[in-house]
Amino acid sequence: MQAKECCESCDFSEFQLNSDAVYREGTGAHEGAATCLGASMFAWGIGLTIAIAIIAGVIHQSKAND
Amino acid sequence: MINQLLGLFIIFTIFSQASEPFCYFVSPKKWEVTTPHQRASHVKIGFIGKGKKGFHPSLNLASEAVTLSLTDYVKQVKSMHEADRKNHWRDLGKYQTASGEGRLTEIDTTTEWGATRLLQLLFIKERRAYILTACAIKEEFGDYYQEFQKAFRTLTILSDPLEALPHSPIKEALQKKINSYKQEPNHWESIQKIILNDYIDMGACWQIFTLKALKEAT
Repeated sequence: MQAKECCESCDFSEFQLNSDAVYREGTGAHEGAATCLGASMFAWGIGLTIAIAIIAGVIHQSKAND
Repeated sequence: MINQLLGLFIIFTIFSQASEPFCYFVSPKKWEVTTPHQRASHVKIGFIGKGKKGFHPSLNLASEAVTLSLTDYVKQVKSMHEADRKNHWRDLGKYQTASGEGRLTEIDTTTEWGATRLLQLLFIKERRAYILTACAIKEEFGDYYQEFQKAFRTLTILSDPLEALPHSPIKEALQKKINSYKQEPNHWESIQKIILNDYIDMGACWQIFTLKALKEAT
């Protein structure tokens, strides 16, 4: 009822915009948490890639020696 | 005296052109800056440390425009985190930073690495929220807790990055170079040198943001 009264007295797009803005607030904190976890895991990914590259290099080298 | 006032006016004009206030924190020593493509749009800067078991501890600073009060913002953030059933959110209470009082929160979640803990500081000033987030696997969290706390306490919001610097001949030299930078762009290199070599203690966040603010303003 309250929302209906608001929509009758004001422009609906303005109402929608305002409620969307309030809904989106907090995205910064959400993104901060997701980026934090991502960065910690991505660094692990780099380590794994380097380890795989080193192992692949060692295997390649030992095969070449055979 | 008139020259000094004129200098201050020029610096104020340069930095006030930036749309957002200047915000920084001092990251733990020897932590590296994460690459920009690893960051979401609201995240301004991120740092990564060396983990003991592969999952590296990390820390980042995000900010966003808000209309809510800190109390309502905390409620909003809580509901966003709790939308994921894996997350367990906890309010750790008021937290004092270099720029005033914020709210410290904690999120426990699970990742491929097992139980993981995030510490999140929420701070609002002049309709802008500043969020510092740190994470580590729960098992190792205690090892980084002091470093996270130390970094969180340094959260500073200013209108001009040079406000953070104590008065010294180096600061005066830097101010002079900035004042004449518009007329003499070849001063950029010496500005960079002063910021990067003489202000290491200010931390990488202050150094990067100051250079960025200067570049964007000119």
